[in-house]
Amino acid sequence: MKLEKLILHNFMAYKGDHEIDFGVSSHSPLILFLGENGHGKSTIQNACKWCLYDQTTEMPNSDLINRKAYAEQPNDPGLSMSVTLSWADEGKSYELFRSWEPNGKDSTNSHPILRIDGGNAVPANSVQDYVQRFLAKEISHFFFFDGETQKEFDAMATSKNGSGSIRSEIEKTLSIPVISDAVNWFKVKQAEESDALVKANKQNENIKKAGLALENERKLRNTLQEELNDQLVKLSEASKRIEAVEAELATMQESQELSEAIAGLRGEKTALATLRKEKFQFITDALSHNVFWAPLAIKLSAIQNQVVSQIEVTQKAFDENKEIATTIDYLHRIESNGFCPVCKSDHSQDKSKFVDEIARLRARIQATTQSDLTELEDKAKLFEQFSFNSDLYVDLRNIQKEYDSLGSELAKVENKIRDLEIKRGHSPSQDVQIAVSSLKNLMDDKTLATRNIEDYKENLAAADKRISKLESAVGKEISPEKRIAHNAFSYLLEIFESSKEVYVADVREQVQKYSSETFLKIISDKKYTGLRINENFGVELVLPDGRTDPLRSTGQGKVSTISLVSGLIKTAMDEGFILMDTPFVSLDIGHRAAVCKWASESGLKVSLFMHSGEFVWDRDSHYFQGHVGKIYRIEKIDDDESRVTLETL
Amino acid sequence: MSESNVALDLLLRAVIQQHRSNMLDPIADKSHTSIFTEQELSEIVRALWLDRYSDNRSNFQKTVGALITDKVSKA
Repeated sequence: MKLEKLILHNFMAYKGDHEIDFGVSSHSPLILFLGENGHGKSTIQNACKWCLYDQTTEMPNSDLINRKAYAEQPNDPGLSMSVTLSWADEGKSYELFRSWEPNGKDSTNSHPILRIDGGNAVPANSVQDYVQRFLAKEISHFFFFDGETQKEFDAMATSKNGSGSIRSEIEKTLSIPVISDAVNWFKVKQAEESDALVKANKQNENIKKAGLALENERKLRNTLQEELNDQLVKLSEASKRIEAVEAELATMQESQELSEAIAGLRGEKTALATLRKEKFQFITDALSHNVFWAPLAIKLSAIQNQVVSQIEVTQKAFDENKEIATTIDYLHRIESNGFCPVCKSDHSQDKSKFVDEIARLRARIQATTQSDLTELEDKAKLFEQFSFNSDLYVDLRNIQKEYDSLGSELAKVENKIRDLEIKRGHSPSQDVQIAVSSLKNLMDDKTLATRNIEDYKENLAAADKRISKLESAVGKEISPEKRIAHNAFSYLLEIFESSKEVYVADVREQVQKYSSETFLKIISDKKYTGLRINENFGVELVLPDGRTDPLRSTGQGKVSTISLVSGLIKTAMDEGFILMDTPFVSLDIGHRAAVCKWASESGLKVSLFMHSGEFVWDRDSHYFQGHVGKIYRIEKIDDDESRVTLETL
Repeated sequence: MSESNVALDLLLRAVIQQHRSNMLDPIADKSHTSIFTEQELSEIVRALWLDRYSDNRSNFQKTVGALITDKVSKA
């Protein structure tokens, strides 16, 4: 960090604007601020501290504003007090402007504005963080070194046991508490991760249990599924068997119906056969008695029929002849008499008619005689004598026909019976009762299987729910990789804890080295080989044989103090600076010269604030060996005003 | 404030050397020592150094947190 500029405005003794440029070359790094007591030398440091930390000498802002400026315009709303401090670090420029307005809206507080590289102001609430990064307040003691108030330093430097408060500040400068804080933070995080791991392990345990439970549930589920499948198979088989039995029953019914039909047909067949047999017997009997005329039966029957027919015709003709004769007779009587013998009507005039009629009737008389009739009757009697009964023959023929017809019918019935028997097939091996009983048992089996299936499905659904729950529990398992966080913090804790001791020893050794270098450059008593800084940051003088001497004089203490501060700054800061106010208190001329020489060669940007009692340019400038870059003269104009002027070298 | 100065270098050296010593230690727990590289440890030290004067050291904690989170996520 490199200070660049300081601008004071109405700050303490500095009325108006006063600028201090800290820019110097590396060859001439020293800046001297020369001024008598009370002229405003310390105000420069106070201004830096007020700008950085809003705090200086425990004085309120109202006491810091230049009294003259305030008196001139006490009610001016534009009246203000401000300090601007500019510095550079790692290629960036920083400008911190702090102001206070006694008549402003907020006259209680000062207002900081920090800009980086001329950009926009950083948020007001982060200004302090920035300042702490560059020039922490806790260690400002070292950069703004006040020789008149370094009593504690002196006490530390002269005490083997060090000084508690200074030791604390040194440790802060060297960031030792920071490492402790980091260690504590790692411990906290490790404990958190341990807790998390314990929870995770417990969770993992639960998850493992859940995993086992899940495995068991899955096995159970598989078993349930298998048993369900069995039941489904049983149900299917029962259904099939039921179907088969029902089909069988249906077949049996049909078969029974067919059997009944067959029985009926068989009955019919028997009846037909019996009847046919009777017919056959009749035919046989008939033929056995009247065998001789059997072959002539047809002809004889025809003749008999003819005779009978002739008898009928002859009889009819005979009867008609008789009737005609009667009529002719009657007509003769009419003709003869000339009147009807019955009705007594007169027919004397139409006798011819009757004559014609009588002639006609006579023409109708058939040549049939009684002898003809008698002949025919004799013929008919012959058939009786032969016992030829054409009716019987007709009966026999009909019976023959019936016999033949019965035979056809019988054949048909037999065919039907055969067809039905084929249709019926084999008789069922069990009767209907057994089949019904079997069906009932199967239905019971089916019902039971159905009920079991429902139960298994319910159990499976419940198992699935449990499995789903367990799967989600198992899915949340903390993988071993999560232990990395715990192990990481554990390792950081371990390594920082063990490194801290090494660091403290190393950094103390480094401070001791730098301090010793400075001490040896400044101290006039050359019997010492250096400084030893103990664990408490107490300082001792090292003798050539390695023994140590306590600090015995104020001068030794001051030199030790300067050496220690120098060592600290060189160790803790890169491109460090130090503003030393009244650095030569308690130092003799020789040591003062040595301090000047050291300041020139230290590598630090040293600004020395001295009064004429400590330094006279003409007398003492050679101590700086030409390494003075700038001289600022601080002069008091009056009680309320000072000025700082850059002198030409 | 420069990130590079004597005290910081000493702290870096202490941490790295301790780490190297742990790596070479045959009985050291490898699950611990192999977590961070030297570069990562340096990054942590530098983050701590930059935050050494802040109130809550949030940047340092974030740096450590980010490194560890990255490792956990890659595991």
